[in-house]
Amino acid sequence: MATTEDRLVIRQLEAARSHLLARGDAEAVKSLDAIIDRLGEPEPEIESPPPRATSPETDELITAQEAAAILGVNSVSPVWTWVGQGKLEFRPAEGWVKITRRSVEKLRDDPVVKAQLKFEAELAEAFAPFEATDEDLREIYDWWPGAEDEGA
Amino acid sequence: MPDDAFEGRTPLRFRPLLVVPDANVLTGFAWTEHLLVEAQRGRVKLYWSPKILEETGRVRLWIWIKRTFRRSQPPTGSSGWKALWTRYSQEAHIWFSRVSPHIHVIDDGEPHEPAWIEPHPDPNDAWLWNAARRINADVVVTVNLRDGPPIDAAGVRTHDGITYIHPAVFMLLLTILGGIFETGRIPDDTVELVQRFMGPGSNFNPSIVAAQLRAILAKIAEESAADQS
Repeated sequence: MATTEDRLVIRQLEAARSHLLARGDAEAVKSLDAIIDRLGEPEPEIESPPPRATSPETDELITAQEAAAILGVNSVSPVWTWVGQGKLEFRPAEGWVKITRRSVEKLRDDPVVKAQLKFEAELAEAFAPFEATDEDLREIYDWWPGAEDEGA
Repeated sequence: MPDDAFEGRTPLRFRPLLVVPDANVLTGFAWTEHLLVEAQRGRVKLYWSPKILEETGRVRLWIWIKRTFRRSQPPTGSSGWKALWTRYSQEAHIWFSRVSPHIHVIDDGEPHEPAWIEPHPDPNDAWLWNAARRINADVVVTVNLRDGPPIDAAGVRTHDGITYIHPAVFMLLLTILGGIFETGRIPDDTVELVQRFMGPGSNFNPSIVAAQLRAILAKIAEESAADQS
C-alpha cells in the first residue's frame, strides 16, 4: 500500500503526465508511467523502520531553493512563509540570507509541509484539464511570445 | 552583523502587494499556484475583474475542448454531449473553487481611467488598466507587455506607480520579495541576487529585473516613511 505522501506525489505526477501527454511528449509520459507504477506498488515488509536518511545535525546553510527541494514543495514561497512563522531558521549569508539545513530537516515531517503538498496536489489536479500548451496559447493570442522573450 | 542583532529586524513596514493578474497569466498552473501561495500568506492581494473573468473562462473552455478532442472524437448523440457538458462543468467548478477564494473582484467598467496614452491602444486592455488604477495596484502581471506603459529610463514599464511585469519575471521577484518580507533583510546587491536566482540561460536582463524589484521596494519604503512621519 502506498503511503499518504506517495499518493500525493502520484497525484502530482499524474497532473504532470496529463500536461506532457497534451504536449505529445510520449517518452516523458512513458518515464512518468513507470515512476507512477513503481510508487503504487505495495511497500515491502520490513522488520524495523529503516534509518532515516538525514544529514548530520550541523549549522550548514542552504538556499531557499535547496530548502524547497528537500521539502518537496513547488516553489520557495512556502519556505519563506515557514521562515516568517519561525518554523525555519535563517542566517545572514552571502549578501543576503540562507536557511539552516538542520531546521529544514526538522520540518520535513511537520503537518504544515504535508498540508502544503496536499494543496499543491489539489491545485495541480484542478488545473490539469485546462493546462494549455504554448502552441494553444499562440493560437489564441497573436502576441504570445515564441522562443524570444521580453524582460521589461 | 551578529545573528542576535539581525533576528527579527524589519527595516520596512511591509504590506501586501496589490496585484492584478491578466487572464493570460491564469492559464498557467505554475504561475497561478505561485500567486495563490503568496496570497494565502498575505504577501500579495490578488484582484480580478469581470473582463478578466470573462476572458479566463473563455480561454479555459477553449483549452478544455482542444484537450478533450485531441484524445477522443466528439460525441454523436445528445446523451454524449450531455455527459461531456457534465464533466466540463464539474471540472470548471473545481478550478473556480480552488482559485476564487484567494482573489478579490474589482469593477472595471467604463468610463475608462486616464492612461499613458489616449485612447488606449487596445480597447480590450483598457479594462485591465481600469481595474489596476481603481485599486492603486502595484503590479499588473501580463504576458502582453506590448499594450502596457512605455519603458522608462530604467527599463521598467510603469505609469502612475503601477508597473507592468511579465509573469516569469514577477515569479522571480516574488521569490526574492518573499525572503525580504519574511526576514526583513534587503539583499546587498540586487542585480547579483537576481542573477543567482535566474540561473544560466534566462532571456531576462538582470539589471532590468533588479530595477523592477527596487521600484517595488522604493514604493513600499516611501509609504512606510510617510506612515511613520
